[in-house]
Amino acid sequence: MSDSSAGDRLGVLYARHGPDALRLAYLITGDHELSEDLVQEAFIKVAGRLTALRNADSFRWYLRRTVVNLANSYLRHRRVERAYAKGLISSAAGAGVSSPDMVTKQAVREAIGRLPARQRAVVVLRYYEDLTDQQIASVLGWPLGSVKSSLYRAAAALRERLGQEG
Amino acid sequence: MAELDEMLAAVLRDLAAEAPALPPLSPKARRRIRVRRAAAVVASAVAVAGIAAGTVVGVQALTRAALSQASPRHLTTAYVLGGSDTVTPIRTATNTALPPIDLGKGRGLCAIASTPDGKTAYVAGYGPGPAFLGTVTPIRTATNTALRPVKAGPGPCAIAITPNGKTVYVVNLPADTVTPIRTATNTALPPIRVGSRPLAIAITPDSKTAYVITRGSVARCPDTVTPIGTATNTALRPIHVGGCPTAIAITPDGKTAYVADGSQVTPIRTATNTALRPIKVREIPAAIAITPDGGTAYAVSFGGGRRGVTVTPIRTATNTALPPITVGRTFPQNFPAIAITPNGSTAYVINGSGIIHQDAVTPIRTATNTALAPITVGRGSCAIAITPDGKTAYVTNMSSGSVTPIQTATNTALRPIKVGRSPCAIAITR
Repeated sequence: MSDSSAGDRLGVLYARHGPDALRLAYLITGDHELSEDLVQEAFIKVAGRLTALRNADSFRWYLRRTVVNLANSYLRHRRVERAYAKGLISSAAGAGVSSPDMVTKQAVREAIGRLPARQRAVVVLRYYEDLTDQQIASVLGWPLGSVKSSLYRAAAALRERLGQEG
Repeated sequence: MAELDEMLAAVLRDLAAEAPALPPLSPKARRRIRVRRAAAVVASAVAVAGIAAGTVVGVQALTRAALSQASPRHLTTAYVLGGSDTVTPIRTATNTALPPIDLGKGRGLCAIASTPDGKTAYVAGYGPGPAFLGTVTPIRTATNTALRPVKAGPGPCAIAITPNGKTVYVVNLPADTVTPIRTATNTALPPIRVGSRPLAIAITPDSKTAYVITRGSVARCPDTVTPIGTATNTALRPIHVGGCPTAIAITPDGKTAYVADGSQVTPIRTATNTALRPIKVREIPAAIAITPDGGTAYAVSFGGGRRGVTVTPIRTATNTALPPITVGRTFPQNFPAIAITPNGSTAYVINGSGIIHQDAVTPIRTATNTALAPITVGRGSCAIAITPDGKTAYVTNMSSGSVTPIQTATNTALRPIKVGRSPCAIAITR
C-alpha cells in the first residue's frame, strides 16, 4: 500500500460519503461552517477506524451516526439552536416569500428549526433520509421506543405550531 | 397526517439543497486519520493477535535482567506463544522445537515474560468463551510444565515482571486495570485502576515504579502515562504527554522513561514523574528500544507510504533526535518491533512487509547508525527477541507459523523452525 494509493482511497471515500453527510449535518445544525466542521470531524473518526473501512455500507452508517451524535452533542453544549431557527427564517425571508405555498413552507421551516436538536435529528432521518423507526434507532443507538416517542412528540409539536401559524 | 409528511419531506429537500459544497479533506484531517489508524492497528494487534508493545518491552526487560547473570547457552530456551493455545519452547543451542506446552483449549495467548532468574515464564491469555476471562499461566521452565492458571482481569494484553522478580504486572486492556500477581505464591492482588485502555507497561530497574501507557477510545486519544508505585500497588498522579501513546522504554539507569506517541517521543524524568520537552520524530512511532549503555533510544515509526518504516536515534544525554534511518519502503502489515543486542552493537528492526515485498528484518549498526542489508524472514513477522549471549535473534512469523533464527555474527537467516499456528510473542530465558 503506497502513500498515494492510501491517500486516494481516503479521497474517494470522502468524495463518496462526504456530500450526504454534509447535507445531514446541515439539516440538523442549520449552519454552513459548523456542518463542514462536523463532517470533517466525523470523517476523521470513522475513517480512523480500520474496521469500518471494510464495508462501504457500514461506513455510511457509522458516518451518519457519528454526524448525528456530534451535531447533537455540539448543539447541546453550545445552545445554538436558536441561531438555527433564526438562520432559517432569515434565509427564507431573503428569498422573498410570496405564494401561499411558500408561506406554508416558510412556516414548516421555522417549525423544524424550533424543534429540540434530538427531535430534529429524528425528523431529518425519517423524512429526509427515509429511514424506518428501526433504522433510526440503530443509527442513533437509541431504544426503538425512544425513537417512536421522539417522532411522535416532534410531529405533535409541528402540527401544533403549524396549526397556530398556518 | 400525510400532508404534513409530504410537506416535511419537501421542505427538508429544499433545505438540503442549501447545504454548502463539500470542502476538501484537509491535510491535517488526513494526518489525524493516519494517527488514529495506527492506534487502531496497535489496538487490534493487541486484542486479536497479542502483538503488544508490552510484550516487546517485557522481552527487553528480561534480556536486560538476564544480562547480569551468567547464561549458559545450553540452557537457554525461547518460548514462543501460538495464537491459540500452545507455547512452544525452542532450545536455542540447537534451534530445535521441543514438544509444545498445552495451556487448554480455546484460549487466546498474547503476552509472555520470564522472571529474571529464568525459572518461571508467565503467559497471559484469555478465554475460552466470549467473556474475555483473563488468566496468567506460570510455566516452570525446568520441566516445561504449566502450573495452575491465576485469574487476572479480562483481555490481558501485556505483561511485565519487576526486575527483583517479586511481582508480575498484567495489563487488562478492556477493564482499564493492571493486575499484580505475587510470584512467591502465584496469587493475584486487587486490580489497580489506570487510564482508559491500558496498552503497555515498563518497570524501572529498581522495581519501584511501573509505567502504564493508555490508548483511550478510538474517538479520543488519551495523553497520559500512569505510574504505579509497586510498594503499595497504587496508581500515582498521571503524567501528561502527547496524544496516543503507543510504546514505552526505560533507560537502564532508570532515570528516564521514553514514551512514543503520535509524532514525538516524550522523555519522563522518573525521579519527579514530570514530562520533559518532547522530541520530534517521524510520524507514528510505534516501538522504542534503548541501548544497554543507555546512550541512545531508537524509535521505530511507520508513517506509511513512500516514507515507509524509519528509525530515529535519540541521543539520551541531550534528548535530541539524530537523522532518521529508513529501513523499509512499505507500510508494514504488522506492528514494527525492535530489539537490540546485549552488547549494544546492533539493533534489529522488523520492517514488515508490503503486498509485493517480502518481510524483512533490517540490522542497524548503532556505532554509525547505518542500516545494513535487510534479512528476509517468514511472512507476517511480528515479534523479535535476542538471546542473552547475543548470538541469535529470533523472529516470529505469524502467517508462516514459524520462527526464523538470525545469526547475528553474519546477519544471515537460518532455517525457519515450525511452531504452532500464528506465533505472536516470544520471550527468551536462560
